[in-house]
Amino acid sequence: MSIISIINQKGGVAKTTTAVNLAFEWSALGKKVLLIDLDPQASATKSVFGDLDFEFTSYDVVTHNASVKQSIQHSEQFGIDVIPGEIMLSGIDIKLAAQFGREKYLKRSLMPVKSKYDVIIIDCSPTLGLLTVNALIASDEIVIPICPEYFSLKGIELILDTINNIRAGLGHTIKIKGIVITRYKGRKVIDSVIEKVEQTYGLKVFSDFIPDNIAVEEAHHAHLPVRKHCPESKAAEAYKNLAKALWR
Amino acid sequence: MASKVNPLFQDSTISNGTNIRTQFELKKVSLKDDERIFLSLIDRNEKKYIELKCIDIKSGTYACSVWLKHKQEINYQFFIKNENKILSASEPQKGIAMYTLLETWAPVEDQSVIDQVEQEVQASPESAFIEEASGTNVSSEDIIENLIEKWGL
Repeated sequence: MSIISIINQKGGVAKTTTAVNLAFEWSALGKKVLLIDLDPQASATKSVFGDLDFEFTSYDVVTHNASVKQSIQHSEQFGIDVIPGEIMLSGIDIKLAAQFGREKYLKRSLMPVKSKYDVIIIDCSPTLGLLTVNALIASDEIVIPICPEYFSLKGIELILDTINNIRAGLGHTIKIKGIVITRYKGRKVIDSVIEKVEQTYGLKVFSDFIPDNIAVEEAHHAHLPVRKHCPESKAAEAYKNLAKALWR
Repeated sequence: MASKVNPLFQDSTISNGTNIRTQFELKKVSLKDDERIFLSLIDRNEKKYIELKCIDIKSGTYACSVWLKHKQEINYQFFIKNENKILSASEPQKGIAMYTLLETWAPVEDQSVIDQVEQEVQASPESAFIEEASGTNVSSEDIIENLIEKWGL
């Protein structure tokens, strides 16, 4: 069992799309998957459920207002369990700031359900605060989606700094599973990007690039995984292969 | 000057001065067969030397751990020695005791720094060379669980 955070402190890198489609693909491989939407924008929740409102969300889980079991919703379309997000998550830093063990609230909340899943995926907020720290402390591994067209080494450096700070100050070591290239448009930029990432930081770059494909956007609006919405698309194939590669 | 610590990354479950096991990790170290690398540490006015061991050959990462008081200011330095003498040393620096201190090996050119380390090592008793800390970190999940159980948090 592993808890994996999908994280990038830069926005617009298809973080949520990667989280929901990996969740679906792993479910399709027969894995029991829980997806936690920890982004106040709740894009993963909207991608799976549309504009539905929920009584309990990840905010209630993190703040211990509700148990994980109370907050879990099931999606038939994706074949996964989901803890939805909501805008209240944006106030979590103020809510938890003075609390004892504030950085481990999510980790403690997940303990009763960890053994029921093969993998728990956390769609992280792009901002660095207590919410992201809670996600990382709860996680065993992270996956970093990057968009090479808007790529900057600074974005990866920010994440590595955060990982090192968590290790130094909070005593938790997180494994970096690798980098996923998203919104891929062609080989023009990509070789130099991969070379820089691998040589400068020693990180693995997965060879299944997610193309910049209209099917991804359409699937999001149809509240479906890409492979269900447009099975023949290159994006569907890429997420299927990426899920297999990440699971190894 | 000791480095600043972002409050976001401070363990809220332990107070300043609690004993923690601090791991020192030094990257980009390359040693010859007869060479060893040490951490020189001033902990509450007491000088200690702890040998670092290789934990990753590829990145040349060496590490050792020592029990310190959480967030206590420490002075430390790394040096390489062989059987006879100190061969190289890093700049002495200040830090704050946390769970891990990550550094990159950066030997100084200044021979006087190396001579200073040589004098200190020669003047130190054999007992200043201590073994690596054993035991587990106090910040482990077990401690949190114990506190939750104890206080009903």
